[in-house]
Amino acid sequence: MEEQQQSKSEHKGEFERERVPKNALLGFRDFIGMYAGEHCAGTELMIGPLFVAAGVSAFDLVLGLIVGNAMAVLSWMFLCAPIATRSRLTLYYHLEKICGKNLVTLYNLANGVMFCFLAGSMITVSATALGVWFKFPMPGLNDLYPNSIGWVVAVLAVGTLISVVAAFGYKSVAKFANIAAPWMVLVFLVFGLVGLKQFIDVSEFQIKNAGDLWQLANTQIWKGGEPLTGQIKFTFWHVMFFSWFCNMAMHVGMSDLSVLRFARKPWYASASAAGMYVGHFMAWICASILYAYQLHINPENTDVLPGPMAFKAAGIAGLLCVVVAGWTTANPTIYRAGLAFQAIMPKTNRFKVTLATGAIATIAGMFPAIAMKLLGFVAIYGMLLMPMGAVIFVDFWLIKKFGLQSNYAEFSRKTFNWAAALAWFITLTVCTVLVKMTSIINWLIEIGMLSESKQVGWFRETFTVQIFFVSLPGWFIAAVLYIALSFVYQKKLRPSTQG
Amino acid sequence: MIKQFIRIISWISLAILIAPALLFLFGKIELDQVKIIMLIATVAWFITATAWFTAKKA
Repeated sequence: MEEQQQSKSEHKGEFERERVPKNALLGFRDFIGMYAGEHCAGTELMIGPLFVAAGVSAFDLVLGLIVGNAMAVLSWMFLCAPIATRSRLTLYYHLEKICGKNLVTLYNLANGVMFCFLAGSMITVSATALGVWFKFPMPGLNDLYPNSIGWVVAVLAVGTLISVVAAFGYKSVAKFANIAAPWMVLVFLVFGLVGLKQFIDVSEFQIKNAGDLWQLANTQIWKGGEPLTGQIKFTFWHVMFFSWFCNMAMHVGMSDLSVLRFARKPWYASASAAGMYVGHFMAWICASILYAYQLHINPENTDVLPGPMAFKAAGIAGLLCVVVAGWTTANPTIYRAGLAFQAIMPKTNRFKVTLATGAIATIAGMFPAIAMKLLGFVAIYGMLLMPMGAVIFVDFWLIKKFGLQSNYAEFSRKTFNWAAALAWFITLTVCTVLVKMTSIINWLIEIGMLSESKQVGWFRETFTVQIFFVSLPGWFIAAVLYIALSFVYQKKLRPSTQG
Repeated sequence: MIKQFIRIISWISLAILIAPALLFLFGKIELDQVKIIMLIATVAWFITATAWFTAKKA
């Protein structure tokens, strides 16, 4: 979506360091198309099956997705859009005013690295399609490293192609992505319909009404129970929080300030529902049906390989969908990562930076760990950038109420706002400790600094937070920290201008 | 007029893309037929949609 937005903005000027003028604003329908296209990506073909591998039940999946996606839309509408439509600045310019140029550079680095890994997982998805033609051994669900020369060559071929195209400019691919989007959505739907029919046939279920269909879903497709080996059990809460936070960098993390600054009204952010309920509801459910059918036929075959699954369901059209879905989303992701890195080294040639970025993404794509652990990776991605979203929110709405200065870096001409930086770092540290609490306590027991007791057990139980949930308390920690640290920082550095 | 015609063909090709899966769901055709029809519809969509998307941009 950002690439479409960017191409539109290019016609009317980039407005990178100025407010978007009234004549460049976009209508509601523009945002529906953008969001629907953006969120029907190659990675949806991994996420749906991984829910099944996590032992999710039908009720938890369907209700979790309905509620979680609604929360995501509300986050776009009430956290991101009100700021975007008032300030009408890009995320980076807005952040620069608050944090200073050097801290934004650090943010760009973190963003660029995460984009590289995300693009790597998209390359992985596309490469699974080549396995259908060339029959090389492909990675399994719990593989962390490349498992065959054929796999490495396939990822290298796909990654090189995508990187070169991205380096030459992504606009033609963005146009192709626009054309492919409606087709891709329907192929995803076909996956679900075909998978459903195959389930009906193989289980000899008689579907006469919605109740029968629900029973089939409950007892055959999403049966719940134990997850597959090496996977975390997913409940309603996991599904809900995952679907809410999987785009956390964009809504709570405020990345979409750059997009929604073009919206005439804040409520235009409700267009994100098109992306959520097409890509993160229908597409995930359809992809998960294909994987559930594969497990139903052969419980030993736990491989999450979108290529072979799509080919079995929809033939060459399905295979093309896997390639196109991975390619059209990996391409702008590599381009964006390149831009993020180029912002750090402005004198470097963009072509070379994008190629180097593509090379990193390709190497990352060779390691199936990222794609196979995509649920966890996406949660980490959101967590990493979330504190800066909290900083922007607090700086925009609250900080003046505490008698503090907003846009402090611009005001004080600082290039590194330590209050914002420490809020970011400390929040990430606290979140990491909460996620790793069990391991930390076990390690402390192992080295003799703690002994196992009822209290220690209670502490471990209470304060271990799974990665899927930790960003919620993390946001509040970042918000409170930013205010508290700003009291100290602003007083210390500009005592004469305060009050 | 021709642009309008191409546009209609492209939307029909999308309808044809999804229709065989529905027919398969109701047991009217086989999966192999679904795959062939989907491939034809895919080719039709990309040719016609490219034509009218390009025309629209121009």
